[in-house]
Formats: sequence, C-alpha cells, structure tokens
Amino acid sequence: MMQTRLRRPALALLTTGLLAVAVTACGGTNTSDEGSTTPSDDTSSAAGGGELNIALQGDITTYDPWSAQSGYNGSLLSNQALYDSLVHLDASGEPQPWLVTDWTEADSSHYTLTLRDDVTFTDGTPLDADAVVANFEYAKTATTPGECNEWVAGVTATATDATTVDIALDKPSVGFMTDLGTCAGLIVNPTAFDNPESLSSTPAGSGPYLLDDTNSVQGQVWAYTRNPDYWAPEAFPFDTIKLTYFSEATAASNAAKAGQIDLIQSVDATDTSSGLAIKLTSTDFRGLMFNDITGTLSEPLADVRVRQAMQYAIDREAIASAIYGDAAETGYSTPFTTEADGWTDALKDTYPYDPEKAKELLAEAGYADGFTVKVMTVPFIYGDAAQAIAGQLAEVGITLELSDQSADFFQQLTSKTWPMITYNFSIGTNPIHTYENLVSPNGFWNVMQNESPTIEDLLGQLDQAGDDAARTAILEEIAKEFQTESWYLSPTLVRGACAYDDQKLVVDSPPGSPVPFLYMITPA
Amino acid sequence: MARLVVRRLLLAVPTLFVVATFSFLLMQLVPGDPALMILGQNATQSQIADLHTQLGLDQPPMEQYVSWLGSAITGDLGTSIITGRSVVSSLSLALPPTMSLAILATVVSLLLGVTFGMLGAVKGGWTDRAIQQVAGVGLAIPNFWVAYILILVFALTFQLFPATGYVPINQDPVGWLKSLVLPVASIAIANTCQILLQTRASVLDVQSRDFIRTLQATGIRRGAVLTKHVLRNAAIPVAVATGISFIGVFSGVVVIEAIFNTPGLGNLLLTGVQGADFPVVQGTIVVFAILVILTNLAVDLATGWLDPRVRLS
Repeated sequence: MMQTRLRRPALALLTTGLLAVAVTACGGTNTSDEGSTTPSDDTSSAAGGGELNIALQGDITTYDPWSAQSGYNGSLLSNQALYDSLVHLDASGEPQPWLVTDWTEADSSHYTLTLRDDVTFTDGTPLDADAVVANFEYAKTATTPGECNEWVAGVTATATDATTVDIALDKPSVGFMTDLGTCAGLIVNPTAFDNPESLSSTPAGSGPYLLDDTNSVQGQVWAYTRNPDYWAPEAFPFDTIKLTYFSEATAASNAAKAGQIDLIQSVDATDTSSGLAIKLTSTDFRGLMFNDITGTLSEPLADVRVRQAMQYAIDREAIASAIYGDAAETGYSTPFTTEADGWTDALKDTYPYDPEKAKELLAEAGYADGFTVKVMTVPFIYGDAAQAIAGQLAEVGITLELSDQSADFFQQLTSKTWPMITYNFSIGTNPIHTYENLVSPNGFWNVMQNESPTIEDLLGQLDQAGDDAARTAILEEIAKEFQTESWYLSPTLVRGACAYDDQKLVVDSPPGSPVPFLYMITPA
Repeated sequence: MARLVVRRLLLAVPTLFVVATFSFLLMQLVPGDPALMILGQNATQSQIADLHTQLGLDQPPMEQYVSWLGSAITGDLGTSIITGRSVVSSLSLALPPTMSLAILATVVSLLLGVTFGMLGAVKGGWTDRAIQQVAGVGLAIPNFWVAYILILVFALTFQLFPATGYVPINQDPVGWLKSLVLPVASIAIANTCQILLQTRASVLDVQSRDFIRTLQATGIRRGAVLTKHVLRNAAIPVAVATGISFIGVFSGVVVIEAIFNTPGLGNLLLTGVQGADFPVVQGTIVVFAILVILTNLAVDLATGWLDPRVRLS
C-alpha cells in the first residue's frame, strides 16, 4: 500500500514532466538576450567570400530587368547579380565607369558611350555596342514595362563601332548617366529578346553571378553562385548570395536574430527589433495634396492664399516627430531633401507655424469663417498624419472630412471627385524625374491634370544650364516654387531603411534608392 | 462503403462551388489594386490603365468570376495577377510544406494524445489530475504565442533549430525535419491536448461498460482487454477528434507559416490576399476545401472500419 502511494505521485510527476515537454512553451519562457546569438552553422563569412543572406519583402517575379519593378521587391538586387550595368553609382549617386569606361556629354540630349571590349554574356555572345542598342529598343516595346523603361523611352541609340554608342534623346535629360546606373542600365543578352516569356523565367546576362536553379524555389528563395567568367569578381566579394522572401517582417527579424539573415532589404526606419544596424535609404515625399487647385470641387482651394494659409496652420515639427519619430525629417511642402541639390535653409522659413497668419490669409481670401473640404485618405499611405493635420487645421476653422477609400483606391483616385487626397511619392536616385512627374499632367497622383508652367519652364532651363552652379540656382528656384504654388501640404519626408549586421557587412546605397545596391554590400 | 465514397465525392462538387463563390465575393471587399502593386506609385495613370486592361481587371467582377470558373472546371486555375506564375504550379510548390506540417503535427498529436489520454484514464488519481491540468493549459495557449516562445528558446537561445524557413525533403531530409520541428510543435501542442482529453473520456466511458467487466471477469489479462477491446471501442470519437485536429491545422497554417516563413499554402493565401490577387486566393481556398472534404471522407472511412454499425447504416 505504502509502495503504491509512493509510486503514484512519482508517476504523476514523471507524467507531468513528459507532458511539459510536449507542452514545451509552458516552461520555456525566456526573455533574455534576444539579439546576441550567433548560430553554430552560420555560413556567412564576411572576410573571405562566403554567403550573403538577404531578406526580401517582395517576390522576384521576373528575371527580365526591362519588366521589373525595382522598388521594394527583390528584383533590383537579383538583377544586379545576374546582369552587368553600364555604369555604377557611388554613395553620393554620381555615375562611375563600369561597362562604359568613358562617356562624353555634348549636351543634355547627346551622349557618346565607350564600352569595354572584353565582356561576353554567359552564352558567349559579346556584350558590344549592338547589344546596348538592342536593349534600348527592347525597353520601348516590353509588354509590362519596368520601372526604368520610361527613362530610356526617348533614346535613339546608334552603334558607331563595336565599343561606341551614340545616344540622342528626344528631349534633354539631366542625370541621364545616373539613370544608366539604375535598372535602366542593366544589359540583357539580345538573343533573349526573341522570346520575352523565356527571359522572364530564365536570366540572360553577363553579371557577376549565375542563378543556382537547384537551390532556388520560385516565390520563396533565390540562390546565386559566382559567374566564373566575370571580368571584375573583386567588386562582388561574396561567393554565393541567397535572397529569401519573407511575407512577414517579424519572421525576417527572427531569422536575423538567429543569424540566418545578414541584411533585411527594407524595414521601418524605427524598427530595431531585428537587432541589426539601421541604414536610412530612400525618402518619400508624403502628405496631403491639393488635387483641385482650379476650385471645381472645392472653390476655396482655387485661391492660393487659402492653400498657403493651410501651410501656416500646421506645426510641421510636431507632426513629423509625433507620427514618425526618427523615421522622418520635417517636410516643408517641397520635394527637396536637405541633401538635395537646390535645397536652402531658407525653405524652412517659408511657412512657419503661425495660426494667426493663417487666419489673416483666410480672411483676405473671404473665408474668415473657414470651410469644409473632402479628403480621400488611404490609411497605409498617410492615415495617422492626415488625422493630425486635420486636427490642426480645425484650429483655424478648416474642416477636413477624411474618408478612407482603401477598398477601391485607384478607382477613387482617378474619379476626379476628391478635392484633396493623401499621396506618397518616392524621391528616386535621380530627383529630377520626381519633380517632372509631380507636375506632369500624366503623373500618377496628378489626376486633375494640373499644370505648372513656371516649374515646367524651370525644369526646361535645367537642360540648358551651363554649369553646376547655374543648375543649382535653377533647382533652388524650383524648390521655392513648389512651396509658393502650394500644391502639397507635406509636413514630412519619410525615410525608408534597410537593416544589416554591421559586424559582418558594410552597406551603402545611392541617395534615393529604396534598397542598397549589391556592389555596395561588402564584408566589414 | 463504395456508395459512401461516391456520395461524398458527388457532394463535394456543390460544396466547392459554394466555397469558391463565397471566397470570390469576399475578395471583392479586399482593398488594394494589383496593377498598382505591380507598377508602383511612380507609374503613370495610363500605364496603370493599360495594365488593368491587360490583366482583365477592367471587366465587371462577375465576368472575371465566370471566366475563372470556366477555366477552373478544366483544371486551369489561371495565373497570378502579381507574379504571372501559373496558380497550379504555385500550389504544387506550396502543398508539400503545408502537408508536411499537417501530417507531422497530426501524427505527433495522435501518438502523444492517445498515449497520455489512456494513461490518465487507466491510472487515475494524481496521474490523471496532472494530465488533465497540463492538457487544460495546453489547450488554452494560442499557437502563435507558443511559436514565438519556441523560436526564442530553441532557435535564438539554444540554436537547436532554424527560426524560419523550410528545406524540401528531397534536398536534405534532416534539414527538412529540423525546419519543421518548431512549427509542428506549435501546432501539435493544442491538438495533442484535444486528442488527449477525447481519448481519456472515451476510454473511461468504454471501461465502465458491462462487456469490459465481463471480459475482465473471464480472466483475460488487463493489457489485452485494454488494447484489443477498450482502445478499439474508444477509437471512434478519437478518430473524429483527430480529423477535426487535422482540419484545424489548415486554419492555423496562415499564422504559423507566416511566423516561420514556411512557403506553404497559408503563406500563399496571405500574400494573395495582400496583393488582391484573386486567382491565387481562389485557387488556394479551393485546395483547402478539397483537403477538408478528403479529410472528412477519410474520417468517415476510418469510423466505418472501426465500427461495423456505421458500414451497415
């Protein structure tokens, strides 16, 4: 009997222990030291080649660079592995010789490129002037055009000999060589253009890496091994590269903590949960847009004094820091970052926070009692800040009726029924394109086809500017004019970021690129 | 039995139709524009409009659905709007990770659940009370919380298993198993407890029946009575509970696969919904529905095998 009594509690304990193993979490809570672990089977070797593991936030849907969107998906990194680029960009965004060893710029419409003569595609086809010409021609006809195609849409390229390409643009383009350092300069084997569908699934490049089909799974993971015939292997120090798609940011963060990932391509600039170092990358010009500056839908907005009054009525610093913290700079309703050519500190003083001045301007315009205006919002673009702006405008008598139109965003955007909208515009590697796009009647956000003859004229003058100083002076005028015309109510310039293991890597990217460039990721 | 199978398979057709139609209607409520996701916000309006036409998104929703349904009947589930890949090929890549998860989690749950459920019922006393207490706790813990704790302990602290990812079994069987240990454990805990409690209750019920007492009175060994008679009679509700657990895995994989970045059906469904990619969502939901129908059929067959009365009815 005594034996039985002793045995039962012992058995109960054993049972409980075994079940506790099954219900592992019950006894397993441990909140210590999340970020300091290094896996024993870590294959990342910073010093001598090794593997570079990158977490992507988007799928790689095509290997055709002329159909790829380079933004937040993985296409740019993948294509920089598989394809060689006409020029490289440095960390300040300046073009540097690469496949193009030298270039001359007769004016902003005429360029002559001199190519290396020792580069071949993986099938042995020479990468020569004819190949470059064929790429620019193909870019114009791609069924699903990539992000950069429009930058070479006006190119007429002529191969004058095997290594020389003359380029004539249908209109001047400042920063054309910078464009050739992005996805607009990745050169595809022209033999692949006969079968674009095949190109979408089978790369045809001359880049530093080859796709490792055996270890790649579409939509999940892409592995790359060195191209043994690449002419400049020292510029790409890693022996293998693995890109892994993570649909959830937390999973990528956990993988980084476990040492499975060295770099997360895109993170929220304030998100340090992965334990990795944060590198700020792109800048988004984000805010509320005065869609209806002709006053068709909301009469007050036609008066520039009303739009300017609204600029005075918002406390930019407070909104930027409260909503975005370190992830945003204060914006001054102009798409110029403080590092941009054309920025001057005087832009900060154009619209100080001055509700009284706002009320005066409203009274001058005949709206002393304020007015109400409808705003189409999309929470994932600018929801929180729109609420904050609405709160501050209410103080001067202006009521913003915010309406979430996420469900059919594009249809609503193009319906021309919203006098104001939330918008987000990425300032790219060549900001001139951003300025052009903002005032272009065909621009994505400019659905009312508003026109700014002054800014368009200034943009035109850029192409004729004789030197850098003259160009900067014009850009300063453009920056100011964006504020004066007051199409945008933007208290923030929101920063994109990537996260990387700074013990293993040194990471850089040209200004405006949402992701680091592959050749700017090197061992620490 | 053959009639049962045929009847169930015929019933599957209207079930699939209803599921597909309902999911399509729900997809109409999902915000987002696939063309915008493909081209980005720096695209021009004309590019977006052209892509709408190219993808057929400018057609009325009902026309899109009828067109999809017509192709689906022939086995063509269309192509993803976002990636341009065949939905069937995406599903064939996503099915093995999810099935690996579901089957392993169910096998583990069944083994542990039946073992400890029987132990509790047979031993009684402290053992039973301890088992019930732990099972109650196990049932109450959400699987996503368990997943994060397992990652914290076994991937980040002790580095025994990878925190994320999936290795195909044909590439590296050991790596496959290692990549599944944590997600399987996350799912299996609650399922184990569910099967355990069902087993315990069934065994206790059968043990109290007269025929068991008669068998014991005839001198048959206790172990033999337990395995040959008690377990077989108690197995029917356990089989049903196991089937429900297996089906439950499919509803849980969306979260678990996202946490572990397992490239299965759950992740495919999630990215499909995020991209308003209706062919991918439709295809994935149809596959989930087929899996549920087949599981129910398997449970019916197992019940029939275990209980002749079901076969006769």
